[in-house]
Amino acid sequence: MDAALKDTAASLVSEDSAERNRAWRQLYDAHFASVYRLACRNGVLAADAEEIAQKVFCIAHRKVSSAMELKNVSGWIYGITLRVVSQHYRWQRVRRLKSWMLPHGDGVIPNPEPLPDATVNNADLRAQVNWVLSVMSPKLREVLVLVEMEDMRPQDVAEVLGIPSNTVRSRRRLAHEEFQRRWQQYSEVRRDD
Amino acid sequence: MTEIQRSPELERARALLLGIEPPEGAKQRVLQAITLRQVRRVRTAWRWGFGLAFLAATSAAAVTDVLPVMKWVHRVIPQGVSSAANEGNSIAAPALRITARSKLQPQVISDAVVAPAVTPPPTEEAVAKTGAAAQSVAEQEPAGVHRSARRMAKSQEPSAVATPAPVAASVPASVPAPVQAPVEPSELSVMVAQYQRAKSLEQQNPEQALKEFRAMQQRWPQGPLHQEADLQIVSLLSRLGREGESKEQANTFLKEHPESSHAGELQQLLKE
Repeated sequence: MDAALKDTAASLVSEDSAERNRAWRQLYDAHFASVYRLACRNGVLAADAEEIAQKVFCIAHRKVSSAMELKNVSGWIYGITLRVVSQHYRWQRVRRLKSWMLPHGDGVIPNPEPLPDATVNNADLRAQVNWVLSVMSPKLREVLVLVEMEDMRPQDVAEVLGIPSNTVRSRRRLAHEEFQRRWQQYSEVRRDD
Repeated sequence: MTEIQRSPELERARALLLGIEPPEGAKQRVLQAITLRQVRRVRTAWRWGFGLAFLAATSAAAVTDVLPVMKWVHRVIPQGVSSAANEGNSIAAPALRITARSKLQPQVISDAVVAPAVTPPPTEEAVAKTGAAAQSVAEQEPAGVHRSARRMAKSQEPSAVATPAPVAASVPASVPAPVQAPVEPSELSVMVAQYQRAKSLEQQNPEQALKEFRAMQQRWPQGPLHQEADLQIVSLLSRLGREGESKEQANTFLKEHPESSHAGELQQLLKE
């Protein structure tokens, strides 16, 4: 797999357009699912995950010429995905402000439609997880998702985010605390309703 | 490094998120969207490129259209002004030439009786004679002297000082040389000056006056003052007591000019 990725990284900046297109198709096939999952694990809704994946690969296509060396293609794609997700949340805050200013819009806490009993618990849990991740600090959320969901080592997370490993460890601890606090906050709001 | 234990809530969230997989067809949909996005991007770039190219071409065309006109204006206007001063012998704009000529026209018309608009560079002999005649007229008989003769003498004095070579050098080679004016005006002025000089000597020195009139007759045998000179010669010969010569001259005059207004006067003189 590593050898294949190295070949892909070399082919992405090749002079031959046919080889470059083939490398791009390989990159897309190999990383689309992981990009999609990483977006969803950052609390992005499934409806928005496809748009985020589209943006990620467009940015990667545009930036590959300026990238000096692609030693870690997966980490490079992950970094782009996290930045696009952060941008998505920033725009979501704008949309949230718009919904607050205008009477008709999405609420802060999603209120899903009633579903059958088999899916009610799962949908409620999904809504709670998405809300907690969406309101968390972006820096803490990125570390929490990469370490706890993607099972990445702190060294790899530090390489992807471009921060020291000790910062990753401290952010991981803070991310656990904020996640717990936001989870309880959501539960209390739902209980009051 | 101390291992941080996951809370039960985090374990539940992790279990939920780890089970997420892209739905069926999502891969193809995103691929199509990326392709369309790239196509739109390329199309937009082409539109911008065509727009900028069109703008550049339009600007270049405007500049290339304006530049020759500006060059023509810068080339023509100074030449037009200088050539207007040189009586418009150039490719100057007609308006400029007309304006310059109209400014020069009154002076030319006033001198048209004895001099054309352009006076050619006089010969050294004519200049010398004219200068001498003008000087003598000014010294001896200012009253009654023909105005055109004085004006000609004055107008030719500076031209004799100013060398004609620079004027000829200033005219471009492609421009035709100015038309040579007739020499009669200067000759006429000289003739008039000589007549006045001889007339002034008539009382004090009749012999010298007679010589002057005879010289006139020899130099300009068909001149406009020919008859006047003949009459003066007849009169001077009679005053000097040379009656034979006087009558012979009078008869000659009557034969040559029987219709002259002076014929009666001469016939009276012959009878006496």
